[in-house]
Amino acid sequence: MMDWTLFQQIGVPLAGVLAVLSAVRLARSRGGLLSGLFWLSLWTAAAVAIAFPDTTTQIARTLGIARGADLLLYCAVLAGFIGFWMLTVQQRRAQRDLTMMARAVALHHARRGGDAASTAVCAAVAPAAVAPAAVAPAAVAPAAAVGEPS
Amino acid sequence: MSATPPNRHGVYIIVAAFHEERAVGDVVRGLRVAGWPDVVVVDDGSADRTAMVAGDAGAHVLVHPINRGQGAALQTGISWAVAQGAEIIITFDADGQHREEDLDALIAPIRAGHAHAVLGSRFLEHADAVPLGRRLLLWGAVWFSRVVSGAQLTDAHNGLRALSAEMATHVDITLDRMAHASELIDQIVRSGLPWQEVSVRVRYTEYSRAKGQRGSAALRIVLDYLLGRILR
Repeated sequence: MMDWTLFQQIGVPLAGVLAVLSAVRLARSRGGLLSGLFWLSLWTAAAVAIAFPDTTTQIARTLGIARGADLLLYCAVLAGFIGFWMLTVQQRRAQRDLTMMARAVALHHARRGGDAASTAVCAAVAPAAVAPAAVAPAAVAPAAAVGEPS
Repeated sequence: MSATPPNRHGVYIIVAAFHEERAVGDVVRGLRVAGWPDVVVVDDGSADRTAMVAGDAGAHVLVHPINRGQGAALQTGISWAVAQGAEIIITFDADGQHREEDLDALIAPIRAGHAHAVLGSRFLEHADAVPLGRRLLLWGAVWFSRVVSGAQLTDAHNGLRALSAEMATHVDITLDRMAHASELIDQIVRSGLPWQEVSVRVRYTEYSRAKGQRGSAALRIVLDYLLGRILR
């Protein structure tokens, strides 16, 4: 125990703490069951592999890989690819949702162009309040003028 | 405005526009003056006055609040046109490269009941009008389309096409950027409905070439498309 390297002295407690934390998370059933089990086994395996480096070498040997470090390297590269792929899928889904949202907004605010004179279209496209506001006072004024003499 | 010829009623022309305030007004006016009443401009989140210019020119205007790419904008326009009761939907580029004169030939096979999709091709007759660099690039795109879609096309990524309302229900563009052109062909082929190409000309102006796709974008288009096929 006491002839552990510095790396082991830091790495084993760190991985151990993380393993315990993920076990607690799993017990409280926070997050998914599958991802909980995944992280628990990952950190446990990490603690074991750092504490007893020979175990990874033995596993590597049975697979026909010379060194345990190589096995870990291959696993890390594979994990990187899988992680990247999952991010890509997620990213695409998010992009698609964003497009559907933009489309919903565009469809909701669609403005039909005037089929007659293009001047009518100009009025429709200009800030919506302008045209009615310009008409309204004119419509009110005659009414008031009529009302006053009586 | 001249009276609309009867065969043009129910034809909606979709123009996807991103930062096209310089060209889109003339494109819309040109189409409307030529007797195409329903021009739909989908402003794809432009920061300039594209939407206003298009509306002033008499187009129906839909605005994406943020930029989503040409494929997304076309699908928005197609969805809207279908909801308006469109019989035929045409996609038309905003940069002035397509010619109004080609449109009657484009819708004729659909009106006659021979086809549900008609794709404009630069290479059926007027191949020499296409600049050499473009021609080489498009030759690659055509070859790619033949391999992956099995469609015997003479042109690919030509933005001028006509779809019947029925074909439009088979079309759902999900590739937001330029790879939508290949996706669209896939969906047309898979619909099982008849389609054909007709010869069109493209105006290669300095403006349209500057706005067009660079050759270096080809790789990205291929990657987008393949990823779209895998992830669907």
